[in-house]
Amino acid sequence: MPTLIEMEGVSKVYRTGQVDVAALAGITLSVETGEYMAIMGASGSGKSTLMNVIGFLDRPTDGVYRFAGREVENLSDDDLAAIRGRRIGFVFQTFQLLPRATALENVELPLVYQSVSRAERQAHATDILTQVGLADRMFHTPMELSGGQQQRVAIARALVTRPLLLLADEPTGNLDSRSGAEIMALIDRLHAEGLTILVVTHDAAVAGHARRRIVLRDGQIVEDTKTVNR
Amino acid sequence: MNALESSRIAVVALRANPGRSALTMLGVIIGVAAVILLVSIGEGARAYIEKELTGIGTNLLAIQPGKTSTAGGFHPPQAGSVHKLTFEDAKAIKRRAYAVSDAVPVVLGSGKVKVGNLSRDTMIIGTTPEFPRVRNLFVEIGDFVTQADVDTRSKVVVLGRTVYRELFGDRPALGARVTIADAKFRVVGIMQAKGMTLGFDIDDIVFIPATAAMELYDTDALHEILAAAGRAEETDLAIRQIKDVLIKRHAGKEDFTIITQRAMMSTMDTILTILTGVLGGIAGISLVVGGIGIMNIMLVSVKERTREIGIRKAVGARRIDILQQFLFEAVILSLIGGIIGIIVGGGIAYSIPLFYSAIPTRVSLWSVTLAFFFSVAVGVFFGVEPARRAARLDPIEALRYE
Repeated sequence: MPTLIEMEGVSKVYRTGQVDVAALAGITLSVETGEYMAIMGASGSGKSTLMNVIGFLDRPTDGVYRFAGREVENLSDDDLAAIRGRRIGFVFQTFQLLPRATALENVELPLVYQSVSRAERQAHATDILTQVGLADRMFHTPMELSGGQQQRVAIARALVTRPLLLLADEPTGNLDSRSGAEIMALIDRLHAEGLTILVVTHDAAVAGHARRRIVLRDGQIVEDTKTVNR
Repeated sequence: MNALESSRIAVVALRANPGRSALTMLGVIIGVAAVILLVSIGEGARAYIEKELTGIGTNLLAIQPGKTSTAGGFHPPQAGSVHKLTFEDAKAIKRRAYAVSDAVPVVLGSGKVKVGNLSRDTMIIGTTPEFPRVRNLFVEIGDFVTQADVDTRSKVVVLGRTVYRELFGDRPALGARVTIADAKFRVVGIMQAKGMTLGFDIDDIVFIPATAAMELYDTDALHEILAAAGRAEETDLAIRQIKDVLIKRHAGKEDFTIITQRAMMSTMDTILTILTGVLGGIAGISLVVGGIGIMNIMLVSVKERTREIGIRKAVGARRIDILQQFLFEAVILSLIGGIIGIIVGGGIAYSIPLFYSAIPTRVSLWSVTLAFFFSVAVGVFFGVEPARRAARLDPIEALRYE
């Protein structure tokens, strides 16, 4: 399998007042296409920062980051936005849906910024929503949906651009256990279909779905285990 | 992302807060309506005065003794200046300047006009039969001063409406004797009512033959000669010919001033343009205040929608996309406000004359166009900063914003 993510000595330093805080301190990591990996660690361990850097929401302070074979360096904000829009799908703990927009409009949103025509957007979004089992909820706003349904809308939105990578940050954190299980089953299915998935979590049960697990502490990878037999 | 998409997003956002959008728009509506209204009043005043000046008589030239600026304006007629204009000058102009259709001598004075024990101080104009034609005046009863009256220095008088009413009430006046400056005059005509022009009562005048007036005031100098060009486009030619004639008669000196109706109009026009500009400017300030209202609301809106901005950025919105979205919101607010303001301001401007005919208004296309583009410009100007703030937001922090 080709390597999707390759990091060499990546660090991220935040300056808070007089003190520099290293959220990431020399991460070297390689993720192949099709992998299903959990990023674990206590809060403050740097796992969210790592996800932001991998997902092009943030730039590394130092080190080399290659994504899909291309070295990504000195990118402008708009370059980052373009990569996020086309290559990455995000799923957040708090869903991050537009509250006044319908499920369909929320799923369409990434395509709006890729100048896809409205008819094409709607067709595509409808298709994806049907795949995640929300064909009958397309014209509901997030407020009219359960937490599990909202997270499925968010997953549909992440998938609508056919990304290379799905980044899920505590995807079950705000859900009851049944909805959480449904969401994890959906993510498992996406992995089975060949999508590369990174899940950031502190929940061992969630991490158990992944085939590989890295643990961060103080901005460094302290553990990297592969579970082959699941 | 194209403009249509941005405006759609903006409209959705504005409709989510209808009350707030309407109130924000109100500032622009008031501003634009005020601009349209005040400019229309200024323009109306100009149209009114132009009409009034035209009513005095078109193609009109006033030749006055003494050399003063020819840049227009009102020059008081100067009597007793060294270089006199004479009755013969007027005749010579009439005879030799062929572009001039009429040259009317005017002897101006004032005095008491008495009938029995009633008297009235009024303006006395000594002139020739062509005067009513040149000044667009008409005789209602009887006749104006005739050429024979002028030739024979007849003591005849034509009364203006106001003078007639004051001295005679409704009684017939033709043939009656009136006393003007101790001389007896016979009433031969009464003028048609003309009304006020620029605050001056044209009906508060009596007319007598120019020759009789010169005798009455013991002078051979005219206060002015009123001349009319045969056609409006020959006015310049008429001026040149009058100059030629008079300079020859005045020993080669240009010791007179020709004031054209056009010069008077352009002076008034300048004054009223300034007035209109000042009124529009004052109204423009309220439009700027409306713009500040937009900016204020947009800043609040950007703050409130920080998370939305974060979400949009996370799924691939570039800076320009976010900038465009919020800028369009501001511009749509000011645009709709501008259109409503034009309707409101125009509507009020049109209806004012229906209720108060004393206030003339005229809604001009340029003021509507100006107000419209100014309101859009206000939207852009005051919308840019909030939109830039939105576009600059860091997506991670924006997503975390509660």
